[in-house]
Amino acid sequence: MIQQIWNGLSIGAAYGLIAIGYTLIFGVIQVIFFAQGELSMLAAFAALGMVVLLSSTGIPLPIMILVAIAVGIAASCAAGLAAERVAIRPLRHAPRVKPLITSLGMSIVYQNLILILVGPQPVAFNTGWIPSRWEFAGVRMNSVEVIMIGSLLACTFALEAFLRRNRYGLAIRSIAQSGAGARLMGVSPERTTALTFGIASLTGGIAGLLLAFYYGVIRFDMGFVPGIKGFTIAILGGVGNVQGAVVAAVLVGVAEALFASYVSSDYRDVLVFGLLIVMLIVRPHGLLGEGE
Amino acid sequence: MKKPGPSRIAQPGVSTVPWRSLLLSNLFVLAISFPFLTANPYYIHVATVFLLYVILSLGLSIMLGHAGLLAIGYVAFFAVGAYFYGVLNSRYGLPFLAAIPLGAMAAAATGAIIGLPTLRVRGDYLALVSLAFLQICQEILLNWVPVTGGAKGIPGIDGPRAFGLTAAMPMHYYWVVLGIALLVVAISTRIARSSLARVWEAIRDDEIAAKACGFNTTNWLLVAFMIGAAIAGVAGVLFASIQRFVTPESFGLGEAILVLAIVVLAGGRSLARVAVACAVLFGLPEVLRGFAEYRLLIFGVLLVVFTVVDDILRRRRSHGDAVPATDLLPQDLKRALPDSLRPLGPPATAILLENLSKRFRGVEALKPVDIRLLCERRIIGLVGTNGAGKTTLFNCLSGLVEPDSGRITVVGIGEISSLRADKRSRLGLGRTFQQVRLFNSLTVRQNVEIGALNGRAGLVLHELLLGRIKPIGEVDAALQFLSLNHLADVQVATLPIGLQRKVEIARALAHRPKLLLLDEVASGLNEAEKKELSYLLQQIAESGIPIVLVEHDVAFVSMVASYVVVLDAGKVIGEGLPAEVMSEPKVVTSYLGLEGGCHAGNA
Repeated sequence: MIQQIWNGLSIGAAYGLIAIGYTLIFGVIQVIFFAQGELSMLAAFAALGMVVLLSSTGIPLPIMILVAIAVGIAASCAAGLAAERVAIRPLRHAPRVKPLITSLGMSIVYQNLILILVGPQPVAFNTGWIPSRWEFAGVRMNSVEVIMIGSLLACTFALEAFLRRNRYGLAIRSIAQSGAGARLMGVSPERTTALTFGIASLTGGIAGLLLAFYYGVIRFDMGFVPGIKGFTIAILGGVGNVQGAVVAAVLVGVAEALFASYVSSDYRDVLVFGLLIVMLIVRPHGLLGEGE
Repeated sequence: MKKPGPSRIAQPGVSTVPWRSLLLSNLFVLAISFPFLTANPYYIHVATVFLLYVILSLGLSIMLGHAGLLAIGYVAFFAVGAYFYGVLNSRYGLPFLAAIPLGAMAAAATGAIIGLPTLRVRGDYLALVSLAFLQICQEILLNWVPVTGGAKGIPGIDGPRAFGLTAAMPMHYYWVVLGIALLVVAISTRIARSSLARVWEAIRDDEIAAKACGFNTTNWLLVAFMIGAAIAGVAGVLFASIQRFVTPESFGLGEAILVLAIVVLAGGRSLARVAVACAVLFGLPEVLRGFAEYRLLIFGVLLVVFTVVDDILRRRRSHGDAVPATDLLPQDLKRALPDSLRPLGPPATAILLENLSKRFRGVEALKPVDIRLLCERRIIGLVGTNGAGKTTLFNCLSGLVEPDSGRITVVGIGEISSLRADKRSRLGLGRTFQQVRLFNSLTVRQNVEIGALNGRAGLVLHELLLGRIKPIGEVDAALQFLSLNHLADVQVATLPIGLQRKVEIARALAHRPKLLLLDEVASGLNEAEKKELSYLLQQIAESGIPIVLVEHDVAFVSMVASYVVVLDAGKVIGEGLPAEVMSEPKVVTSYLGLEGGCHAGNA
């Protein structure tokens, strides 16, 4: 039982990092940015590509892994910013359904680029690093799981501090509260939106790398289901609310792990998405972001 | 008196040009005789599946094209129909003919289950919720082996069979699907031309304004969602019956994206474009077999490029043909409010607000206020500086903002505190908005028609079935009263602000309200327009519809209002006749900020 909770916490942390991206972007431009999960996938493939490139050069392992991580995150940031520039910014005055369509389009493009380049089969995410394992109070854990939970906490704290202290962070919050008001005060919506996409790509990229280390295999569609789960978490936590997303991520991760081990692992996504629909029925008021 | 104009609503795309019907009838003959033109059963099969995708696309067009609901996981309903027939036919021998309506109902019911909770919260969540639903369906189809057969699916399903005839050959299947496709075409064309589609478009354009026009937007959008789902369900039954088996892989993300790409490329409106987009996207991979693996990539690129380019072109077009303001000045001011716009019952005589208050986070927009207003045949001005709480008070009255405490009673309508905005509108509250909220993709006349329909399902259904809009008298009268007849068929988005405000008033008058709430109706108008407006408002009030006017422009209020209430920082600081109230020291102080020195000079 405690083992399952631990497992759930770690996978929930990865979902939570994806959810933060959804929540931030939705808060600023009111658009569900579908490609969030694909940014994670791209980070994993870019990192693996870097490892393959470097592995024959004889660079020490820790440095190689750090370089690969940096490249992975750079790739997801580049993909996220490119999507913002190509598919979101030109439509900022269009009806809301249009950026929704284009962001879905970007997600399909990214998925299929990797599908064509790499193929449909899963690829081993083999970096040469072997996570250490140990047992603590009867719970088996490994360093990847600890890093997952640590990353979520670190990202949340960093983000909260950024949003409250830094002037660019304040710009994001001001746009989220009142786009027109913020513009009058000299906040550039374009730059703020791009910055938000940058942060969302960053957390999404980290999530993708963590998922890759966690499962040990990566695939072109690995971002799809975590992407939908990230959205579910963003809704449960209250859209625009980073702390809420973290709490919801923990809940969803643990619920999923418990359900998979005690009820049925075949239907674990049914549980999560069923939860989404139930939450929309039971607690819609916490989610209403109306207001003119 | 002019006679009412033709009563059909505008029908773009329908013309009496003979070549068009000639072309259509030729296409029709070609479609029917297609199986005789090719001996290859494979081509007939491809043509049949093509028709199925036309059906599917028409269903999604209703959701996306009219109602603006991006149901990415739409093919889940296709799966529901297919497995509904597959399971019940192979196990219990459910006949094909019964499965068509039942499959449609099953899919519509599924649509209600995921649509209702989502639409109540936010329409665009449907995009991901429907995608999650598709994922759930896949998981259930793959894992619930005793019922769905798992990955192997269900074999041995009966082909189409009805009235003692059994379809056994590809060409028979083709004709069955063609017949149903024509039926779906007929239904969706009828819907696309009816005011039902205009209602969906209105909600898509501006949900808040649609609520203020009396539409329970959740329910209306749900109807669109369920109709679309039902059409997908029918396509599913057909698909299972012509394939004679079903497997989960026919209902994956790839299929979902294909249908979505067709509908996006078709632009949502015209049937011909749906057919062409379908032919292009569906036929392309059949022709270019070698490029099959690039198919989804191409769809993704198409979704992005097409949407962006289409939006840019559309914006450029709508900038081009703005109506110049000068030649639209009113010709004649001597108009009384026509009888057909008078309220159906006795108009409101008083408004009672008891202990009404509202906070937004830290800001106390409205301190607990008690206001009693006798409004019979009156124009009441609600004035105050920025942030005084005028618009909040208004939104509480019309139901768009829920107050934290208090009761609202309108004598003549009843106690309305607990009613939703759309219900209040149907009971007789008409309103306009500080920032004009029109349905921008509709014409002037269509906007007013939405107002006249006022959320009444019976009227919309009447028009859908009989093709005539019932409250036509109200529409014509409202257009005439505000001298908008010559602009009836102009897109509202191209009108200058003064005319947009008049359209908004016409739309509110068309519900035949018992009380009219006008929010900053004079702002952005020039002096001539203000003069005309003040005359019209007096006409409206004199013929029995009381008006409450939130206004910034003190001169305008003094000109039209017979009673004034002054708000400051969420509290009433004065009320009475305009001339008296506006000279009270407290009010003067509030407006000119004399207490704080003389920095108000440039206000």
